[in-house]
Amino acid sequence: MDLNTLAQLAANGIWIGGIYSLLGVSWAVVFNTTRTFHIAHGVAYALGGYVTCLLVARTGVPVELALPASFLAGCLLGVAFELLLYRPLRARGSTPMVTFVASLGILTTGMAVIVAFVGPNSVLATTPFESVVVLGPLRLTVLQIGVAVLAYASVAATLVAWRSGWFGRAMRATTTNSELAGLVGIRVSRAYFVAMVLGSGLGALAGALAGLTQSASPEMGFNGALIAAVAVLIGGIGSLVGAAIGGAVLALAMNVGIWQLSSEWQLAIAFGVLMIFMVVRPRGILGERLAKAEL
Amino acid sequence: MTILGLAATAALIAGCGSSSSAGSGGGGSPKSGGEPIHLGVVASLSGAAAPFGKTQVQGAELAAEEWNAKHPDKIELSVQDDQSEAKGGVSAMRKLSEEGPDAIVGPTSTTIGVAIAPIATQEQIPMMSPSVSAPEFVSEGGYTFRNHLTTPQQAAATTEWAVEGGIKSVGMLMNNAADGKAAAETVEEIVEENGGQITGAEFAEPTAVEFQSQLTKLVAGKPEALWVFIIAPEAIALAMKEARQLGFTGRFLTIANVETEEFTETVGSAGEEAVWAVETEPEAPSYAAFVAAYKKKFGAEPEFIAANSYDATMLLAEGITKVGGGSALREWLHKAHYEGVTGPISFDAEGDVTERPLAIRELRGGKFVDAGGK
Repeated sequence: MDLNTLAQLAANGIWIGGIYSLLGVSWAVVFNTTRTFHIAHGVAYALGGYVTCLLVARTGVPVELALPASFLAGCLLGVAFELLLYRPLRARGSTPMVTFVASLGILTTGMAVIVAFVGPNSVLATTPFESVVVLGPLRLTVLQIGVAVLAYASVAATLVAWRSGWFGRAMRATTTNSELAGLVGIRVSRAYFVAMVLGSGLGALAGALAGLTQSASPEMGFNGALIAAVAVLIGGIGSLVGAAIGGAVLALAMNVGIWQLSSEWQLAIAFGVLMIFMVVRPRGILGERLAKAEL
Repeated sequence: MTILGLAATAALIAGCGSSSSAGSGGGGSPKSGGEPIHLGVVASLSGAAAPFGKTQVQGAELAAEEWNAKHPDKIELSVQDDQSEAKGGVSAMRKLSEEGPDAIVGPTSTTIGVAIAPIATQEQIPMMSPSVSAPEFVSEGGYTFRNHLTTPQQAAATTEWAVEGGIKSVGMLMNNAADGKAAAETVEEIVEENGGQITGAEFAEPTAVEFQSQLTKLVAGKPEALWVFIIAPEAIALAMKEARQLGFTGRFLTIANVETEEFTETVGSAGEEAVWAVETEPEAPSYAAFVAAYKKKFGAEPEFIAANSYDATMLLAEGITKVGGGSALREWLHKAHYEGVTGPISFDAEGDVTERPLAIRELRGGKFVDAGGK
C-alpha cells in the first residue's frame, strides 16, 4: 500500500474523528458532571441520526433545518432522561451499578422503540453536497468536509462555553465536587439537568452528522455508546478537552491502523488502544490523576 | 467501523441433553407395497421464522397428499416445531431420532441447520433443507443435503459472468461472516483459475455502517471490478457511493438483495451497471401445475421454500421406496438425477444442489435488466 492510500486513510480518520470527538465531548458533558455511566446516550446519538435522515430522505427538509431539529430532539430526550430516569434514581440513592443497569435497559428499549417505528433497515439520506473535492491524493465529498468542520466547531464551542461565565463555573464546580458546589450556592440539580440536556443535544447532533455521511441504523445505539465511552476513557475522565482529543485519536487509530492490517482488525485496534491506556496510563491523555483505574 | 460486534455475538447454546437415543437411522431396505414412508419435518412454526416454516410444511403436505394418491407406500409426516431456535431444533431432532424416520425435510433457518446437521449425520438420517443458506450446513461425509442455492454459489455465477466478460482484476468487500468468507474463497478461486488476480479483500462486520477505509484500500488496488457482498441493500448502496467517491470507475458485482426500489433510489447513478445473479422462476410445466395445486389447497402463491420443500419431499419418498432410508438413501441421493418442479436436481459431494436456473441481472438507468449470458 502506497503513501497516497495512507493519506486518504488519515483524511478519513480526521473527518470521522470530528464526529467521534463531538460524541465523546457530549458524553463527557454528562458523565463528568453527573458521574452517571450514561450508556443510554447511544439513544440520543441514534435519535439524532434518524431525525436528520428521515427528515432529509422522506420529507425533503433541507439539511440546514434537519440538523437543528436533531439537536432539539436530543435536548428533549435529555429532559426525559433526567426527569423520568436519573432524578428519581438519584432521589432514592441508587448505587452506580443500579443506575448503570437502568441506563442499559433504556438503551435497549430506546433502540427497540426506534426500530418499531422506523423498521430494522437503515435509512440513507441523499444530500445535494455529494460532489467530490480532489485535493492532491485525497478525495473527499463536500459533505464530509462540511460535517468535519461543523463537528470540530461544535466541539470548540462547547469547550469555550465550559471555560467561561457563570455557566462554565457552575458546571466545572459540579464536576470537581458536587457536594462542595452545593454548599457554595450552586444549584447542583440544575447543573445536572443542564448537563443532561446539553449533552444529549450534542450527542444527537453528532448522530445527525454520522447519519448524513453514513446512514441511520439500529446499530447506532450501541455503537454510539461504546465510541463515546472509549473516547472519554482514552481522553481522560473529568476532562472535556481530553474527550475531544480521545474521540479524534480513536477515529484516527481505527482508520490509519488498517493501512497495513486487514480491516477485520478495526475493532481490535479500537479496544487495543483502550487497553493500552487502561494499563499504561489509566487516567487517559488529560484526565485527573488516579490511584487506580476507576470510574 | 462498527464498534459493536461484541454485543452482537449471539451465543447459540445448543441444548445438549441425554444421548439415550439408539442411533438407528431408519431401515436400510426398500419399501415393498403398503409399508409407510416415515418422513420427519423440522420447521420453524413459531418464532421469528414462522412464516417461512409454514410454507415449508405446506409444500411437504401437498407433496405427501399427491404422492399418497398415486402410490401404495404412503408418506407419513411427523412435523416438529423448532421455534426458530437452535435449542428447539435440537429437541425436535431428539424426538425424531427416537421415532426413527427414514429421512427428514428441513430445517427452515440457517442457525438451526448449522446446529442440527451434526445430529443428522450422527444418527445417520438423511436430511434435506429447502432454505438453509450457511455453507457449513452440508459437508463431505455428512447426511445433510440442500436443494436451495446458497448466496456464495450465486456469487460464483456472477463472478464467472464477469470473468468471461474479460475482467482480470477484482477487489472484494465481503461480509465478515461464514457466507462472506465462503464467497470470498469461491470468487478468488474463479478469478485466479482464469488468470486474473484479486487486488484486495476486506471484510466488513455485518453491522458495519460505513466502509470508507476498507474501500480506500480496495480502490487503491485499482481493480476492474469490485465485489460488494454485504447483506443489507442500504449498506450495499452506501458502499457503492463511497467507492465512487474514492475514485472507483469499474463495475460492481453484488448479490440479489439489491433488487429493491429503495436500493435504486438510494444508490443513484453510483450503482449503474452493477450485476448480480438471481434464481429465476422455474420453467418446467410441472411447476405451473404445482402452483395451481398449491393455490387451490392453501389459497396463496407458493414461496420458493414451498416449492423446494415439495421437491425435497417427493425426492426423498422416491429414494426411500427404491432403497430405504439411512445410509442407502444417502448413497442414492448422491447419485440421483431428479426432475423436480423447480428444475433438475442433483447433488455435489457435499450435498449441495449443483444447478439451478440462474439469470445475471444488471442495474441500468435505474432499472433491473437481464445482463445476458448464462
